[in-house]
Amino acid sequence: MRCAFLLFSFFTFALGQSTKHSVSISMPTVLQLRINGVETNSQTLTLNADKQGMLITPDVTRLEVFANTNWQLTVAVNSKTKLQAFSDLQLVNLSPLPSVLLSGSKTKGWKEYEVSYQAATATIVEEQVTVSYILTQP
Amino acid sequence: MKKVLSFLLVLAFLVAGSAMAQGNSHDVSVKIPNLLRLRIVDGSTAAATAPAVSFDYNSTTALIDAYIAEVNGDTSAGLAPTTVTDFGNAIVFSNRTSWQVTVSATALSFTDDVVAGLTAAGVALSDISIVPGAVSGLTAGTGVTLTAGWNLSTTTPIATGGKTTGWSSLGFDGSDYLLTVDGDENPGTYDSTVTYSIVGL
Repeated sequence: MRCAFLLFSFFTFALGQSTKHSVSISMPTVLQLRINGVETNSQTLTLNADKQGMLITPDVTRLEVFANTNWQLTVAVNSKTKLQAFSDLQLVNLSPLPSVLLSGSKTKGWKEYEVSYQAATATIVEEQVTVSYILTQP
Repeated sequence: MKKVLSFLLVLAFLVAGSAMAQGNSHDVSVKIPNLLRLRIVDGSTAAATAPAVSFDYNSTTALIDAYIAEVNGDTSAGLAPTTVTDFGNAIVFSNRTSWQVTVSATALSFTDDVVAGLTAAGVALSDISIVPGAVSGLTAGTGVTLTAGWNLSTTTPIATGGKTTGWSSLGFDGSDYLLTVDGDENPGTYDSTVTYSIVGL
Protein backbone atom coordinates (compact mmCIF):
# COMPACT_ATOMS: atom_id res chain seq x y z
CA MET A 1 0.00 0.00 0.00
CA ARG A 2 2.79 2.35 0.95
CA CYS A 3 4.65 1.46 -2.25
CA ALA A 4 1.57 2.27 -4.29
CA PHE A 5 1.27 5.62 -2.56
CA LEU A 6 4.93 6.40 -3.17
CA LEU A 7 4.61 5.38 -6.81
CA PHE A 8 1.55 7.59 -7.23
CA SER A 9 3.36 10.45 -5.53
CA PHE A 10 6.36 10.01 -7.75
CA PHE A 11 4.34 10.14 -10.94
CA THR A 12 2.32 13.10 -9.72
CA PHE A 13 5.55 14.80 -8.84
CA ALA A 14 7.28 13.90 -12.08
CA LEU A 15 4.43 14.67 -14.44
CA GLY A 16 3.31 17.90 -12.88
CA GLN A 17 0.49 19.85 -14.38
CA SER A 18 -0.17 21.89 -17.45
CA THR A 19 -2.48 24.68 -18.50
CA LYS A 20 -3.46 25.81 -21.97
CA HIS A 21 -4.65 28.82 -23.86
CA SER A 22 -5.38 29.55 -27.48
CA VAL A 23 -3.60 32.10 -29.59
CA SER A 24 -4.95 33.48 -32.84
CA ILE A 25 -3.42 35.79 -35.42
CA SER A 26 -5.41 37.39 -38.20
CA MET A 27 -3.38 39.04 -40.93
CA PRO A 28 -4.98 41.55 -43.27
CA THR A 29 -4.57 41.73 -47.00
CA VAL A 30 -2.67 44.93 -47.65
CA LEU A 31 -2.58 46.58 -51.06
CA GLN A 32 -1.86 50.25 -50.70
CA LEU A 33 -0.58 52.84 -53.10
CA ARG A 34 0.95 56.24 -52.51
CA ILE A 35 1.52 58.77 -55.26
CA ASN A 36 4.12 61.35 -54.32
CA GLY A 37 3.66 60.49 -50.66
CA VAL A 38 -0.13 60.71 -50.62
CA GLU A 39 -2.53 57.77 -50.53
CA THR A 40 -4.42 58.35 -53.74
CA ASN A 41 -4.86 56.58 -57.06
CA SER A 42 -4.64 59.34 -59.63
CA GLN A 43 -2.47 62.19 -60.75
CA THR A 44 -3.09 65.14 -63.02
CA LEU A 45 -0.54 65.91 -65.72
CA THR A 46 -0.35 69.13 -67.65
CA LEU A 47 0.70 68.87 -71.27
CA ASN A 48 2.15 71.89 -73.05
CA ALA A 49 3.59 72.10 -76.49
CA ASP A 50 6.32 74.58 -77.41
CA LYS A 51 9.01 74.85 -80.04
CA GLN A 52 11.14 72.22 -78.31
CA GLY A 53 8.30 69.74 -78.21
CA MET A 54 5.91 68.49 -75.59
CA LEU A 55 6.34 69.44 -71.94
CA ILE A 56 4.77 67.16 -69.36
CA THR A 57 4.45 68.49 -65.83
CA PRO A 58 5.34 66.71 -63.70
CA ASP A 59 7.26 64.34 -65.91
CA VAL A 60 8.09 61.94 -63.08
CA THR A 61 5.84 60.37 -60.48
CA ARG A 62 7.03 58.71 -57.31
CA LEU A 63 4.91 55.65 -56.57
CA GLU A 64 5.05 53.62 -53.37
CA VAL A 65 3.47 50.21 -53.06
CA PHE A 66 2.76 48.30 -49.85
CA ALA A 67 1.60 44.74 -50.47
CA ASN A 68 1.72 41.51 -48.54
CA THR A 69 0.51 39.45 -51.47
CA ASN A 70 1.09 39.29 -55.21
CA TRP A 71 0.03 42.52 -56.88
CA GLN A 72 -0.14 44.40 -60.15
CA LEU A 73 -0.43 48.07 -60.87
CA THR A 74 -2.39 49.10 -63.91
CA VAL A 75 -2.39 52.56 -65.40
CA ALA A 76 -4.86 54.39 -67.62
CA VAL A 77 -5.41 57.95 -68.84
CA ASN A 78 -8.57 59.90 -69.66
CA SER A 79 -7.22 61.25 -72.93
CA LYS A 80 -6.59 60.10 -76.42
CA THR A 81 -3.31 61.96 -76.55
CA LYS A 82 -0.56 59.48 -77.20
CA LEU A 83 1.39 59.25 -73.99
CA GLN A 84 3.77 56.67 -72.67
CA ALA A 85 4.60 55.79 -69.08
CA PHE A 86 7.70 53.84 -68.24
CA SER A 87 9.30 52.42 -65.16
CA ASP A 88 12.52 50.49 -64.77
CA LEU A 89 10.60 47.39 -65.69
CA GLN A 90 8.06 48.32 -68.30
CA LEU A 91 6.98 50.85 -70.90
CA VAL A 92 3.30 51.12 -71.69
CA ASN A 93 1.29 53.18 -74.11
CA LEU A 94 -1.33 54.99 -72.06
CA SER A 95 -4.93 54.74 -73.10
CA PRO A 96 -8.34 54.79 -71.40
CA LEU A 97 -7.98 51.02 -71.04
CA PRO A 98 -5.85 49.91 -68.08
CA SER A 99 -2.43 48.47 -68.86
CA VAL A 100 -0.16 46.67 -66.44
CA LEU A 101 2.77 48.90 -65.59
CA LEU A 102 4.23 47.16 -62.54
CA SER A 103 3.78 43.89 -60.69
CA GLY A 104 5.39 42.12 -57.78
CA SER A 105 4.99 40.12 -54.61
CA LYS A 106 5.33 40.99 -50.93
CA THR A 107 7.05 44.33 -50.58
CA LYS A 108 7.81 44.07 -46.83
CA GLY A 109 7.06 47.73 -46.32
CA TRP A 110 6.66 50.64 -48.69
CA LYS A 111 8.57 49.98 -51.89
CA GLU A 112 9.31 52.93 -54.13
CA TYR A 113 9.05 53.08 -57.90
CA GLU A 114 9.59 55.94 -60.28
CA VAL A 115 7.40 56.39 -63.32
CA SER A 116 8.26 58.82 -66.11
CA TYR A 117 6.05 60.09 -68.90
CA GLN A 118 6.71 61.04 -72.43
CA ALA A 119 4.55 62.03 -75.37
CA ALA A 120 4.57 59.81 -78.37
CA THR A 121 3.64 62.76 -80.57
CA ALA A 122 3.52 66.53 -80.09
CA THR A 123 0.30 67.39 -81.73
CA ILE A 124 -1.62 69.16 -79.02
CA VAL A 125 -1.29 72.67 -77.68
CA GLU A 126 -2.34 72.33 -74.07
CA GLU A 127 -4.21 69.75 -72.14
CA GLN A 128 -4.71 68.43 -68.63
CA VAL A 129 -4.99 64.70 -68.30
CA THR A 130 -5.64 62.44 -65.35
CA VAL A 131 -3.55 59.34 -64.99
CA SER A 132 -5.25 56.65 -62.91
CA TYR A 133 -3.46 53.84 -61.11
CA ILE A 134 -5.18 50.74 -59.81
CA LEU A 135 -3.40 48.34 -57.45
CA THR A 136 -4.94 44.88 -57.40
CA GLN A 137 -4.15 41.22 -56.92
CA PRO A 138 -3.48 39.63 -60.32
CA MET B 1 7.72 -11.28 60.95
CA LYS B 2 6.03 -12.70 57.90
CA LYS B 3 3.00 -10.52 58.49
CA VAL B 4 5.16 -7.47 58.80
CA LEU B 5 6.92 -8.20 55.49
CA SER B 6 3.62 -8.77 53.69
CA PHE B 7 2.29 -5.50 55.05
CA LEU B 8 5.37 -3.62 53.91
CA LEU B 9 5.15 -5.18 50.44
CA VAL B 10 1.51 -4.15 49.99
CA LEU B 11 2.35 -0.69 51.25
CA ALA B 12 5.19 -0.38 48.74
CA PHE B 13 2.88 -1.32 45.85
CA LEU B 14 0.34 1.22 46.96
CA VAL B 15 2.92 4.00 47.24
CA ALA B 16 4.47 3.13 43.91
CA GLY B 17 1.10 2.96 42.19
CA SER B 18 0.11 6.29 43.62
CA ALA B 19 3.36 8.00 42.59
CA MET B 20 3.39 6.76 38.95
CA ALA B 21 -0.21 7.76 38.24
CA GLN B 22 -1.71 6.55 34.99
CA GLY B 23 -1.16 7.30 31.27
CA ASN B 24 -2.67 6.84 27.79
CA SER B 25 -1.17 7.34 24.35
CA HIS B 26 -2.01 7.59 20.64
CA ASP B 27 -0.16 7.88 17.35
CA VAL B 28 -0.26 10.98 15.24
CA SER B 29 0.27 10.95 11.47
CA VAL B 30 0.52 13.90 9.13
CA LYS B 31 0.39 13.47 5.38
CA ILE B 32 1.29 16.48 3.30
CA PRO B 33 0.12 16.31 -0.31
CA ASN B 34 2.58 16.54 -3.11
CA LEU B 35 1.49 19.83 -4.68
CA LEU B 36 2.60 21.10 -8.02
CA ARG B 37 -0.13 23.14 -9.66
CA LEU B 38 -0.15 25.59 -12.52
CA ARG B 39 -3.11 27.64 -13.68
CA ILE B 40 -4.03 30.43 -16.02
CA VAL B 41 -6.51 32.52 -14.11
CA ASP B 42 -8.47 35.71 -14.44
CA GLY B 43 -9.37 37.58 -11.29
CA SER B 44 -9.26 34.64 -8.88
CA THR B 45 -7.26 31.49 -8.26
CA ALA B 46 -9.79 29.36 -10.11
CA ALA B 47 -8.59 28.01 -13.43
CA ALA B 48 -9.84 30.11 -16.35
CA THR B 49 -12.28 28.30 -18.61
CA ALA B 50 -11.11 29.49 -22.03
CA PRO B 51 -8.07 31.72 -21.88
CA ALA B 52 -7.19 33.24 -25.23
CA VAL B 53 -4.86 35.75 -26.81
CA SER B 54 -5.86 37.25 -30.14
CA PHE B 55 -3.96 39.40 -32.62
CA ASP B 56 -6.74 40.40 -35.00
CA TYR B 57 -5.13 42.98 -37.23
CA ASN B 58 -7.71 42.47 -39.95
CA SER B 59 -10.78 43.82 -38.19
CA THR B 60 -10.51 47.60 -38.52
CA THR B 61 -8.75 50.15 -40.70
CA ALA B 62 -6.87 51.44 -37.66
CA LEU B 63 -5.52 47.97 -36.91
CA ILE B 64 -4.52 47.41 -40.53
CA ASP B 65 -2.71 50.76 -40.40
CA ALA B 66 -0.99 49.64 -37.20
CA TYR B 67 0.18 46.51 -38.99
CA ILE B 68 1.48 48.59 -41.91
CA ALA B 69 3.31 50.97 -39.57
CA GLU B 70 4.90 48.05 -37.75
CA VAL B 71 6.05 46.36 -40.96
CA ASN B 72 7.36 49.63 -42.27
CA GLY B 73 9.46 50.06 -39.15
CA ASP B 74 7.65 53.17 -37.94
CA THR B 75 7.33 51.69 -34.47
CA SER B 76 9.32 48.41 -34.41
CA ALA B 77 7.78 47.70 -31.04
CA GLY B 78 5.91 44.58 -32.00
CA LEU B 79 2.16 44.25 -32.20
CA ALA B 80 0.18 43.94 -28.99
CA PRO B 81 -2.76 41.54 -28.66
CA THR B 82 -6.02 43.08 -29.80
CA THR B 83 -8.01 40.92 -27.37
CA VAL B 84 -7.05 39.01 -24.22
CA THR B 85 -9.72 36.76 -22.74
CA ASP B 86 -9.62 35.00 -19.35
CA PHE B 87 -5.89 35.47 -19.00
CA GLY B 88 -5.18 37.87 -16.16
CA ASN B 89 -2.34 35.91 -14.60
CA ALA B 90 -0.50 32.60 -14.55
CA ILE B 91 -0.08 31.19 -11.07
CA VAL B 92 1.77 28.30 -9.51
CA PHE B 93 1.37 26.42 -6.21
CA SER B 94 4.23 24.22 -5.07
CA ASN B 95 5.46 22.70 -1.88
CA ARG B 96 8.33 21.06 -3.70
CA THR B 97 11.80 22.44 -3.34
CA SER B 98 12.46 22.54 -7.04
CA TRP B 99 10.35 22.74 -10.21
CA GLN B 100 10.40 24.24 -13.66
CA VAL B 101 7.86 25.51 -16.16
CA THR B 102 8.19 25.00 -19.90
CA VAL B 103 6.12 26.23 -22.81
CA SER B 104 5.04 24.43 -25.95
CA ALA B 105 2.65 25.22 -28.76
CA THR B 106 0.94 23.26 -31.48
CA ALA B 107 1.94 24.00 -35.05
CA LEU B 108 0.10 27.01 -36.41
CA SER B 109 -2.96 26.04 -38.38
CA PHE B 110 -3.93 28.31 -41.26
CA THR B 111 -7.30 29.45 -42.53
CA ASP B 112 -7.49 31.19 -45.88
CA ASP B 113 -10.34 33.44 -44.78
CA VAL B 114 -9.56 36.08 -47.38
CA VAL B 115 -10.14 33.38 -50.01
CA ALA B 116 -7.06 34.31 -51.94
CA GLY B 117 -5.88 30.76 -52.52
CA LEU B 118 -3.04 31.30 -50.11
CA THR B 119 -1.22 28.95 -47.79
CA ALA B 120 0.47 29.65 -44.47
CA ALA B 121 3.64 31.67 -44.80
CA GLY B 122 5.58 34.23 -42.87
CA VAL B 123 4.18 33.55 -39.40
CA ALA B 124 6.15 31.31 -37.03
CA LEU B 125 5.70 30.40 -33.39
CA SER B 126 8.93 32.23 -32.68
CA ASP B 127 7.24 35.44 -33.87
CA ILE B 128 5.06 35.36 -30.75
CA SER B 129 7.04 36.42 -27.73
CA ILE B 130 6.29 37.15 -24.10
CA VAL B 131 7.93 39.93 -22.15
CA PRO B 132 6.84 39.29 -18.55
CA GLY B 133 5.32 42.27 -16.84
CA ALA B 134 6.00 44.63 -19.75
CA VAL B 135 2.36 45.58 -20.10
CA SER B 136 0.68 43.83 -17.17
CA GLY B 137 3.10 45.13 -14.57
CA LEU B 138 3.01 41.72 -12.90
CA THR B 139 6.09 40.44 -11.12
CA ALA B 140 7.18 36.96 -10.12
CA GLY B 141 5.81 35.98 -6.72
CA THR B 142 7.26 34.06 -3.78
CA GLY B 143 9.34 31.07 -4.80
CA VAL B 144 9.32 31.92 -8.50
CA THR B 145 12.30 32.80 -10.64
CA LEU B 146 11.27 33.95 -14.09
CA THR B 147 13.36 34.34 -17.22
CA ALA B 148 13.44 37.73 -18.89
CA GLY B 149 11.35 36.60 -21.83
CA TRP B 150 10.60 33.79 -24.22
CA ASN B 151 8.76 32.96 -27.40
CA LEU B 152 6.45 30.12 -28.30
CA SER B 153 9.24 28.00 -29.74
CA THR B 154 11.44 28.30 -26.65
CA THR B 155 12.45 24.88 -25.35
CA THR B 156 14.36 25.87 -22.21
CA PRO B 157 12.45 26.46 -18.95
CA ILE B 158 10.74 29.83 -18.76
CA ALA B 159 10.52 29.71 -14.97
CA THR B 160 11.99 27.78 -12.07
CA GLY B 161 11.34 27.86 -8.37
CA GLY B 162 10.72 26.17 -5.05
CA LYS B 163 8.08 26.38 -2.34
CA THR B 164 5.62 29.08 -3.12
CA THR B 165 3.81 29.12 0.25
CA GLY B 166 0.48 29.40 -1.53
CA TRP B 167 -0.52 30.51 -5.01
CA SER B 168 2.21 32.62 -6.52
CA SER B 169 2.28 34.62 -9.74
CA LEU B 170 4.57 33.63 -12.57
CA GLY B 171 4.65 37.33 -13.43
CA PHE B 172 2.91 37.56 -16.78
CA ASP B 173 -0.49 37.55 -18.41
CA GLY B 174 -1.94 37.65 -21.91
CA SER B 175 -1.26 41.35 -22.36
CA ASP B 176 2.48 40.69 -22.18
CA TYR B 177 2.36 38.79 -25.49
CA LEU B 178 3.85 40.43 -28.55
CA LEU B 179 3.73 39.64 -32.25
CA THR B 180 6.68 40.43 -34.49
CA VAL B 181 5.87 41.08 -38.15
CA ASP B 182 8.03 42.00 -41.12
CA GLY B 183 5.61 41.97 -44.04
CA ASP B 184 6.27 38.46 -45.31
CA GLU B 185 3.11 37.17 -43.63
CA ASN B 186 0.47 35.76 -45.93
CA PRO B 187 -2.97 37.21 -45.23
CA GLY B 188 -5.24 34.85 -43.31
CA THR B 189 -5.75 33.46 -39.82
CA TYR B 190 -3.21 31.44 -37.88
CA ASP B 191 -4.17 29.47 -34.75
CA SER B 192 -2.28 27.53 -32.12
CA THR B 193 -2.79 26.09 -28.65
CA VAL B 194 -0.14 27.08 -26.15
CA THR B 195 0.62 24.82 -23.19
CA TYR B 196 2.54 25.71 -20.06
CA SER B 197 3.71 22.67 -18.09
CA ILE B 198 5.21 22.43 -14.62
CA VAL B 199 7.36 19.50 -13.51
CA GLY B 200 9.17 18.80 -10.29
CA LEU B 201 12.91 18.31 -10.30
